[in-house]
Amino acid sequence: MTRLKGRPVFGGLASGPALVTKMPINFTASLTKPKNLIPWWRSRIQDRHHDLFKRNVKGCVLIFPAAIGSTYTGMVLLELMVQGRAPAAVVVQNIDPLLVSGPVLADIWFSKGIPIVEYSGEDIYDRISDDDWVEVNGKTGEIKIREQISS
Amino acid sequence: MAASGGVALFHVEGITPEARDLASVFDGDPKEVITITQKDIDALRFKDPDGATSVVFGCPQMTYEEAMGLGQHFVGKKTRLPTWFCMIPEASKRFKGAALYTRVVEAGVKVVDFCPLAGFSLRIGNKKLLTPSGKLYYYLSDTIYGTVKDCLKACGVQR
Repeated sequence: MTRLKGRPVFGGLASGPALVTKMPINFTASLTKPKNLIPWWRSRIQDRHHDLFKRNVKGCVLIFPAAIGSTYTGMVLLELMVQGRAPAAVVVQNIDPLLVSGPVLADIWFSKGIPIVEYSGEDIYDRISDDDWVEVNGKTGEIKIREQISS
Repeated sequence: MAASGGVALFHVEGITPEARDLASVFDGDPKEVITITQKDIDALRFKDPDGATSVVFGCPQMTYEEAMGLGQHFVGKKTRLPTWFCMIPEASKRFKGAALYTRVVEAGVKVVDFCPLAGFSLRIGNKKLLTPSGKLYYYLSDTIYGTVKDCLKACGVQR
């Protein structure tokens, strides 16, 4: 078990398999395409320019450098949370208000927020790989990583 | 830049008002320098003249001045592909009052006042839209990117 200490931003405790990318994510371009209207593809990334193209964010701990693109970012996340198709938690290197607005408003309006922790160190990409089990504490900033047992 | 560049806000030296020079916007030397060459931009550009099935101008939606400038290329000609000018609603009202508007419509251009991303996200058939907007190219599925000149050539109104 590896532990990292990030900056607590929002929310409580959640865990899930890691989904890691070194590319900033444009949530509007990723999750508001016509294909996202299909319920089982609602949370599938449809940004063809992105490493995570066709990956599903539902239930994962999403680890990425920053959110980019449209001011609609927060609402995209909010909608996923309301529909129960959001990531379990978010660990981001550079936090911004638009990203935070989604979980905060989902919590206020629908009691469905997710934890966010900011961890700026580049070592996060050495410490966490896809599918490692990660627990994120939005109150303390603690990130616990249980590495995937390779078969 | 915001759509694809990994930056939410940016300075352009000598263009955005707060960035008179590099010293005004950087606290010392930049931490990282990324060089983008013409070759990089050209690598994105559309090269197949028959590859586009329609051409969309405006994303962000066009201003009156943009329509007046671009419209000149269509005077006395016929566009060979379905072509849209997606304009700011107020700008399109003003453009419709200009003599050039009729000439542009006669050339086959559809002047509309909706956002191309909202308007073309759901479209019948797998149409390849050619756009001179890096933003629209990033956001909209099945788009190809070209310069304004590439787009005018695809319309058959410029050699």
